[in-house]
Amino acid sequence: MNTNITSVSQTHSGTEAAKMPEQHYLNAGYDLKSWLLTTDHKRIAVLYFILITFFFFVGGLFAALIRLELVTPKGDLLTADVYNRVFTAHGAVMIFLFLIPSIPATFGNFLIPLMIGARDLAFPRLNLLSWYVYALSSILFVTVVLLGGVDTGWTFYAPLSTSFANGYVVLTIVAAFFAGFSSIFTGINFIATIHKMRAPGMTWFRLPLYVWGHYATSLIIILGTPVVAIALILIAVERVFRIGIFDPALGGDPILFQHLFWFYSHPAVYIMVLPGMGVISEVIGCFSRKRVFGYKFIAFSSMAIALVGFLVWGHHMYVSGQSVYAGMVFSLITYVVAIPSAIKVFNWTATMYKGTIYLQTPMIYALSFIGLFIIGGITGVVLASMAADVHLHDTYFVVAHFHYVMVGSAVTAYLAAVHFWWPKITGRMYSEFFGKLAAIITFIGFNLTFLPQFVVGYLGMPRRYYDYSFAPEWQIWHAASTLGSTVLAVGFALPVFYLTYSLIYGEIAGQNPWGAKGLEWEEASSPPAKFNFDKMPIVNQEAYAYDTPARGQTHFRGVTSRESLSIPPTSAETSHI
Amino acid sequence: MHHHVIPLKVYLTIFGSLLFLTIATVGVSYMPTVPIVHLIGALIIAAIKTTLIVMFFMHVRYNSHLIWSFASLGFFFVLLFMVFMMGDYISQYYSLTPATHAVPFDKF
Amino acid sequence: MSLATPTVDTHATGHHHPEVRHQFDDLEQQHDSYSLGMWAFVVQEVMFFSGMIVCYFIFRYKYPEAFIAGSNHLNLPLSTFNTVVLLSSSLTMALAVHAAQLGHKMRLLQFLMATLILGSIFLGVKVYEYKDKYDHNLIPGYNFKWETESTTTEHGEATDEPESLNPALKMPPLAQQVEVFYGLYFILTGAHAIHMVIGAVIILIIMVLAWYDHFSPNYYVPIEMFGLYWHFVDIVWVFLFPLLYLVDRAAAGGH
Ligand code: HEM
Ligand SMILES: [Cu+2]
Repeated sequence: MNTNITSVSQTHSGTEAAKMPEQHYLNAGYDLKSWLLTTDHKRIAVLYFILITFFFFVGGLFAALIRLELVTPKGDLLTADVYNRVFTAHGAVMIFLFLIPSIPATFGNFLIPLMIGARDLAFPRLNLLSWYVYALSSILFVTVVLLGGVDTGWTFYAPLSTSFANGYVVLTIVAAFFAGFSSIFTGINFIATIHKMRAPGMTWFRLPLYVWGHYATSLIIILGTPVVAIALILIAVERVFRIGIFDPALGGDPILFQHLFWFYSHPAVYIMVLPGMGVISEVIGCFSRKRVFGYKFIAFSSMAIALVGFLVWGHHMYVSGQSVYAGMVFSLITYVVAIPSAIKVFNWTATMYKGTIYLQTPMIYALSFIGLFIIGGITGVVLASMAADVHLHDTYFVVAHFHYVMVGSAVTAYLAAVHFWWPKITGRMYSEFFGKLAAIITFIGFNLTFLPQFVVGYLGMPRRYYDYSFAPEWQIWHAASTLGSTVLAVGFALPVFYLTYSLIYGEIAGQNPWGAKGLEWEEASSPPAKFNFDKMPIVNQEAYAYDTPARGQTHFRGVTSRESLSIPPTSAETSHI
Repeated sequence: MHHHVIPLKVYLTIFGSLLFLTIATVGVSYMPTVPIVHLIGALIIAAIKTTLIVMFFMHVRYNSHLIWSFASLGFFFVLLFMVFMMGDYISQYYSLTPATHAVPFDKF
Repeated sequence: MSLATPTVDTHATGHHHPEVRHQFDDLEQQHDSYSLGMWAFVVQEVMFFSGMIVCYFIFRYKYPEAFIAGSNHLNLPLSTFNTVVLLSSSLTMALAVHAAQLGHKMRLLQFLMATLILGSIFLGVKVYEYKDKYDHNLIPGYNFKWETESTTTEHGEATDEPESLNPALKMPPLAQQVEVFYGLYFILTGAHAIHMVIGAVIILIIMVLAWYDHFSPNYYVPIEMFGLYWHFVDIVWVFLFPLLYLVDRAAAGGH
């Protein structure tokens, strides 16, 4: 269909050994200043990546403590108070410092300008500021933990948080507030960038679905985050000045807090998962060597989720005293919001149908994403039914549900992204063997950890309990879960080793090791140049045109497409518009 | 750069209207009628004032569709937020298990 | 996915306008990006205030008598004056942008100055109002005292222990309800005032930049963007004024 293929200066193809480009963003300066004062979106992404990875493991440490405590029915390892502080720290660190910024701040930052053909984000200095604000927030969080922590849960429910909790609530709130600001800055940046900085010819419907996912996410960020910011400020105001807003003893209304909180925090779950869905679209398309099926449906389903996702928050409040009529409406809309998510799943499977499937590491993560997201989503629909939720609310069933979507889906997608774009970011390949091994261990460990929690939750185990000696027969499920979490920990820890190893000893990846479509692969070197492209690209093709050969392809570990074997990638070197 | 420079007269007219509406909103609150009318009157006037400011002082009237949509986006979501929240509180009174000091709608 | 052609030189600065930052192709794109980014920020601000406004509505719905009583205790003439002051500052701000568009440096500085002065007057009045509340023991959570007599006179229905319309629950005493109103009053006006203070600081910075000829008819984006912020803060007040000061003035028979 398309035989006009122009070459990019440093394309390596065929059997030729791949070489590192001479100049790229990583060697554009080595001193600390060139990193800490950089406005290059790629370097800022790396800065984010480092901090985020660190906090992922900090959060994991707290999770380990929780799981250890629950091995036995009696509360023996930790005291009740310490246990409260541990699960709060786990939730707050994982959500505010890891999951919310995870994909947007690292891969979004790195890839959006590359994918749309821009030199940088629209506001590079704002981007750097957002990293600093995030860093400040993380320092505050660490301070809180070192001082002894908070015991309100990541949800800060009032009046517990305003009148009864005795940890460092206000400091935690300040930290969460800053974390929120950092993501608002990122959101504003993405919106302006995606609207205004697309390369000539990069129409909305030629954008990679990944970019659509980030666009929807950014809208949610700017619409939702400020509301939780004010909710948290009000908590601080009530706690410090004793001005009644939420505490009934002061004339306040505790349900009001839950409304404000969930108005953000339900959409926030889509902040966590929508970028991940974008990643999955890219990976599935690439490793099925097929155009993503139903492009427009996936694009619009992201937007639908962004909109409708704002109207379902009441499903967290069925038993809070919210009116049953409101509950009915929220329940109905919650069922509706499952539809766009399902559309995506169907389209991914349809993409794979009759595709040429390569089971490289990112693809394995993507496949486990699909499976785990289905379980997470469907249990969400179970919880959306008011009658069922009376029984299931605040049990481990809910815990299992949201871990399936937040870890099983969002974190898995994050790992898929790490493995898919690692060669682009670092210019090196990691060990495919260990990559696959980690992906499979993660999948097994994850299910071992969280499937039992559905059961024990259904049996009645409440969340946030450190002692279940009233029902010692549940121990088997908890023990299984803790065992699974050990496996999971191995799966998460492995990449740290082989990815770090690959930085020095990994094979040179070359421009396009997966033979993937997309500007970031076809037009930019690995690692990309400081201003991304040598020549600013012009786009005249749909996304995922896997029926035409990918440019800049570097053969790697058997990942070639049938097409590119028949048409040597750089044979037709005509400069042609 | 081709930017629409709005004539000074427009700014002054808008300012005059804003002053007038400020007086009107004070007036409405003194009207002897049921409370809900005061509230609705005040909100309508505030909405008109907002529209004037957004359209002329903030130049949205002379701007692209994109800016138009972003200017409305926030207000649209506030509206949704309000409708759902008030929906809950108003129907709490009629709910079988009221939890807050709900009052019937006409007391608003 | 794409066919690349050497059209735009990545490192091109030659044909770039000096005011165009490296990531943009031209002034137009730069201006549109800033403008959209600022509007996205305004959306964010709208949602921020909406959280508080929603609280206001919920409590107004729950405690109608207290809101009438509390509101009628606020200083209406002063706040009406303040509303006019703030609207005027919005006008001067719009005129400052106008002057910037035309490249009139002195006019620009004068209008910015006027905006700053009007904003300061507003804040000054606000401080006076706060002080007044303090003197009358109306600081919630600190020295709040509410004499019920002053408000029960007209209708006699606002007693100290209003009966809950929902018999299952007891309403908090009226004094506490009014305290909630005053709490919201301070939170809402406080958040607004903080935005004004930030705005005032930014005006100062812009004035310094304008003084040193930082702007031109080609490049006045920062002024225009700041104008959006200032007008937004004005809009917040457009809502706060009737919501806080004008709750059923008729019902309570005036000030
Ligand atoms: C497919 C659509 C989904 C539906 C229908 C759904 C439904 C629900 C419902 C009804 C609850 C409330 C359960 C309760 O507390 O009693 C809930 C809780 C939760 N869901 Fe989902 N969910 C969906 C997707 C997601 C996604 C994608 C995520 C995150 C990425 C997520 C994260 C959470 C979290 C974090 C909670 C519990 C929060 C807490 O109480 O601490 N959900 N979900
Ligand atoms: Cu939810």
